[in-house]
Amino acid sequence: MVEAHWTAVYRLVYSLTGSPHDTEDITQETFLRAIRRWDTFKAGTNLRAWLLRIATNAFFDIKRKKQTLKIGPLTEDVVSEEKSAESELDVAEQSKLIRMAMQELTELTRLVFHLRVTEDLSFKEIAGIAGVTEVAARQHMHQARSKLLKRLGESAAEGNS
Amino acid sequence: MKCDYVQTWLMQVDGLLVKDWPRDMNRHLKRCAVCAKFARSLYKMEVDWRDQPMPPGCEDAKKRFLKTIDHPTKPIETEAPAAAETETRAKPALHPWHPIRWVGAAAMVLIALGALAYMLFGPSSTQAAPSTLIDRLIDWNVAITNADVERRKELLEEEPTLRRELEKDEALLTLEEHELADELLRSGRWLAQNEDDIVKEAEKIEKISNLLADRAAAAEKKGNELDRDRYAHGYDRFMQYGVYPMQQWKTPLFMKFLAPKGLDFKKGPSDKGGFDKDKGGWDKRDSEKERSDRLTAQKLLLDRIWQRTPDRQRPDLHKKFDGYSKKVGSMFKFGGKR
Repeated sequence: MVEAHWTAVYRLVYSLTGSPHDTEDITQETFLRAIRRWDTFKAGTNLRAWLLRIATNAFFDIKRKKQTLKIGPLTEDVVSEEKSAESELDVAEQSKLIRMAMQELTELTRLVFHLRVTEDLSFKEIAGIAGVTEVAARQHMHQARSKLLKRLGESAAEGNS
Repeated sequence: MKCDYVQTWLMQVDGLLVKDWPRDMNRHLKRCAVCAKFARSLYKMEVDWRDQPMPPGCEDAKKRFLKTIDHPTKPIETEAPAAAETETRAKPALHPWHPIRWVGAAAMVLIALGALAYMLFGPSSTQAAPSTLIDRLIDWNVAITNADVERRKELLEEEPTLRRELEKDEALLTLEEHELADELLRSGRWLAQNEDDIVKEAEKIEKISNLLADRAAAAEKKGNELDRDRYAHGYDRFMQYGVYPMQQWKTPLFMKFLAPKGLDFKKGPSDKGGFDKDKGGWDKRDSEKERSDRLTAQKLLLDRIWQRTPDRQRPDLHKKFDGYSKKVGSMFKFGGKR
């Protein structure tokens, strides 16, 4: 379970907190909760979605308890652990731009966008994880797309001028 | 169709893969350069987010966590033993040194440890215990594909038990389920007995994956959500543990595939040919024939993985394979297939 899903959980939490330290804490908490609550997992259902829901709950729980939890920015240099020989400047720049644009979204919108794009989950599954209705999840996705597109368009225009 | 409508529709669409879109939408996008550019920007934005590099510290954090679980400073309690404890308390108290207490305590510790070990390291470590014979057969097949030669022999010994269970459950299974169970038993046996041919093995795994995907699609059509999810879950298990690990070069299957070709990824590619700074240049340890065999086998295997990979994952895979090709000095590329 840890081997197969650690990265997905870590990525999600990192997209929410932006801090490696908090990400590690919340990811650990997620897997500990999963181990403790293993008996509640329904065989045949999506294990990753179950873990991502636990991670989301853990993030919001910890955030509520510890108001000091630093949220964002996702701007520090992300080091690829599987760096390819030809890491291009352009790719790095694009990557940075979208991280910065993501930071301007609300946590919930960011969560929906991340789950849809990175995990390819259905809106029904996303709604279950985020604790919103399916319609609301779709609205968040719409909002994420339009805001990010606008922000990235502005950045591109700034870059050209 | 108006551009405003198209762009609003694009913002709300489930997935940004053109092949899933209505025909009139695609027709408009072919004609309208503005909307086509808009669609491309959306798609690129999502790909950029999906292709974000691994966040810092991810692997180290995982190692630290696994270490903590191996040597916990305080025990990790599952909820089941806690509930069992409450139940015991409600009964009349036994003498503290009563042997039943010791046997009970030992059994509880064993069960808790067993459950934890199964969850963390067991062959089906990513899912709960299989609820049906089909699930067990899927797990059995997946375990075989990920096992080395010795372990495969052990797993093959489970076949008669599984077959007996199939015969016993015959009346409970539908004709389709029976066929599938039979196919899984046959494929498991084949996989356990044939550990030399990686390409054929990959084909076998694909065959079962396809079968499960077809069953999931058929169940979906019939509106049977339970079966759909069960088959889709099985398909996912095969993709994740049968085919996907090959992409990461981690399975014994892939090691076995590389070993006779003169490459051992445990040691790293520079141990067997490649650019060697200390030797002052290109160290060609492979003969031309070995090199050509390796490239052919790679191409066959990678092609098959490629065919079995959902469209959305292809850009990732493309990157991985190109990186890999560079690492081993292979000329093989996925050019033009993206």
